[in-house]
Amino acid sequence: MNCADWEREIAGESSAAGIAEHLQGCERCREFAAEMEANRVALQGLTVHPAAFEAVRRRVLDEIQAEKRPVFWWRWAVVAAAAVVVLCVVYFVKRPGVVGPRIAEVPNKAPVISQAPPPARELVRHRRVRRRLSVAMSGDAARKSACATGMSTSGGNSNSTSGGHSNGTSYTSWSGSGIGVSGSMCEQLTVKMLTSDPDVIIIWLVDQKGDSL
Amino acid sequence: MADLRLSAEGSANCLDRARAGDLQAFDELMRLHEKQVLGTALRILGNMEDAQDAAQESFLRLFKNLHKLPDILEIKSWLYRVTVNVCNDAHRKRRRNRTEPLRGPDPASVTPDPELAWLNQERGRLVEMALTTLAHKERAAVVLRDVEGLSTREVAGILGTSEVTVRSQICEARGKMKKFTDRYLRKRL
Repeated sequence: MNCADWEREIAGESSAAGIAEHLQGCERCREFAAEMEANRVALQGLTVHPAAFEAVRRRVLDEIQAEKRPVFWWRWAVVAAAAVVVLCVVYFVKRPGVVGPRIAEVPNKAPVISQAPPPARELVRHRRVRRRLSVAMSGDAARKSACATGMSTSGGNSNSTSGGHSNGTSYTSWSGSGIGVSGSMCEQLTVKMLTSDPDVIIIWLVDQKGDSL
Repeated sequence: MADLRLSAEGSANCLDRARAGDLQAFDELMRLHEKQVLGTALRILGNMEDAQDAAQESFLRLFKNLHKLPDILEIKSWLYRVTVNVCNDAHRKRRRNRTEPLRGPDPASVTPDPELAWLNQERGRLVEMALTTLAHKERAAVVLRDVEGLSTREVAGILGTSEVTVRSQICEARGKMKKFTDRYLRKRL
């Protein structure tokens, strides 16, 4: 082995026998070994400024706290938002005086048909008008007016009709939709519509031309 | 001996508190290992900025894995492994994004200093420069062996290689460093 081989053994921390003996007898390899040791000591002696450690620790703790913080606020923000939504829904649905949307039930039985009694005053007035008309009108006009008494009631519902004429006055009612019609055929028609809500009754007054009164 | 036992008990207590989320306890743990982590990272990576980033990442990994470490005695070797891995990652990233090559200073450009007394002080700076000229794996091996004073077996365990490989890397690294210092010192003298 020459010195280059021994240097490799020394640098490689070889446990080869004879290194110590060679070092005792070889000035060059002794220098080499001493320099290796000096380099090692110099490497170990390298120091880091304390501020660098402090900076690292601060950065680590800041990072940990930053990772914790958003989770905390995010969770509470979600809980708060959910609570607000629930409160809003409860307030608007259960608010007093506000009836929520309701689906009308389809009646199993046929709706009750009420036959509205003819208003007495209407009859009286009708007679009076007829008399006046018959007096005022000429023959053709009187005939037209008489034809008008045979005018069919408009209402669109033709399920079953019943009614009759009594002194020029007819009372008609339809079954099947809760609609009652009453009134004079010549002067006005009263349409009473019963709805699913017993408190709500729609009354529709129509004159002989079909216009709403 | 009693002090050592007290210190070990204190460290174990510190680990338990850190596991429970006590940041002050974790700060104490960092103080115990900061020289090891930052010193290793600095010598492997060669500059303070990257070393601080690597040390930060290593400690964050420690914080996240505290519950996996059964014993306070495990932390030291675990931290070495993590630090070296983080440095490897940083080295790969730096190599990809590198804008200027990593090389040691040109010895001829340094002003000669006739004072021989300077040599010992300068040697520290020289070996630090010499470290930057080594291959990454050689640098890691020589830092763990010569700076941190670990045995060849421990170094092999941390680097995940065989002892023979570590010896070879250390031999190569020391030879290169010596050549570097020789070249510089010869120019000076």
